[in-house]
Amino acid sequence: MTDHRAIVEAILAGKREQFRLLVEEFQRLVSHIVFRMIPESQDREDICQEVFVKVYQNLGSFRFGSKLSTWVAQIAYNTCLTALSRKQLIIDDGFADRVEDSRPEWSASEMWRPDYRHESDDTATIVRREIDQLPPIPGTILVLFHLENMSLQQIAQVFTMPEGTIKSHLFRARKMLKERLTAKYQWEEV
Amino acid sequence: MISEHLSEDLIQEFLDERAVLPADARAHLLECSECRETLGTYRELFASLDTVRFPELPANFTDRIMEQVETARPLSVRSQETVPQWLWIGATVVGAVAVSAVVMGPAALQNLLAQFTELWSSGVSSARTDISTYAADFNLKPMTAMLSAVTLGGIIIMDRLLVRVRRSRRFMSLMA
Repeated sequence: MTDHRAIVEAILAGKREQFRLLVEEFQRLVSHIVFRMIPESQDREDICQEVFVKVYQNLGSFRFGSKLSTWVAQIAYNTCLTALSRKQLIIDDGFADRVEDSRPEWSASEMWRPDYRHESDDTATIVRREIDQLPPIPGTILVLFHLENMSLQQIAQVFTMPEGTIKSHLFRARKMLKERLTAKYQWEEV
Repeated sequence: MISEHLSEDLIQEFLDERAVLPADARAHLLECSECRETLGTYRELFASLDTVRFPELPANFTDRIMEQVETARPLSVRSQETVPQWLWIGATVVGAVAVSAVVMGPAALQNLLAQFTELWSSGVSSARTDISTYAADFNLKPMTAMLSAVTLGGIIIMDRLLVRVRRSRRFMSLMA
């Protein structure tokens, strides 16, 4: 198990190269958040970089009151919110009553472009494509829970939302995913 | 046995292992093919979520970050490097007492301590009237105040100097 405290202390003592370990460990987590939250694909990598520079610059303020991964995820989420507000994009939390696929603010994104199943697509690819169609916040919560194995409590810390709200988003996301998959494909085929 | 279908929230809770299906819900599942199908669909969905992999960042992503942090420094290091405030206050008190002991001699300090104890026990009101007399008798008031101020000032100046030295070292290491 990685000794995050030792790594952080080494970085703060001037061993900058140790930061490489944190980037390698958390880049998947950061990309999971940024890629769900940011609609414009050309911006995502820059935002991931911005997140890690912020992590580096603020390492001294991290007091190990939570897991380092939770803290990094918080920075990633907040950086996304800042980036979205810069572009004046509205976040669809997935709870508003709306007609299916009517997301004007996000429609320019390739992530929302309707895709169709190719013969070669396996189950994971199909499910991944449908996760990309979910609204940003429920989609991010789903990915953090299932792919990053974060607990509801940790996710609640990242989003600064009550645990019950996170649970509602998660259940709603899975229900939407199930409905989309069963509507588009015969689940048995998938 | 319950006649209503199981809620999807209950099914999800069950698959998350956060809930145990009550006996009547289990009995309903045995009889209801629709609920069994919903449970089966969610089970497949949960299993497939474990296999999903999203595209990763480019292989040179870490190198690019490391290039960027070459010119950045952890901003909040200073707050970790400086000694906590309570330690400085404690050190000031100890320092003032030590310097006073050297300058005035241990006997005078012991006398002063005894008188402060007496002042404390006799109450604040009597202290107000008596403190000037005590201070005048021993001629300690200006000396103690001066020593405390000098010690405190010295510690603050040392702290600032240390911070500046650390900053300049970091700057030099960034430039090297």
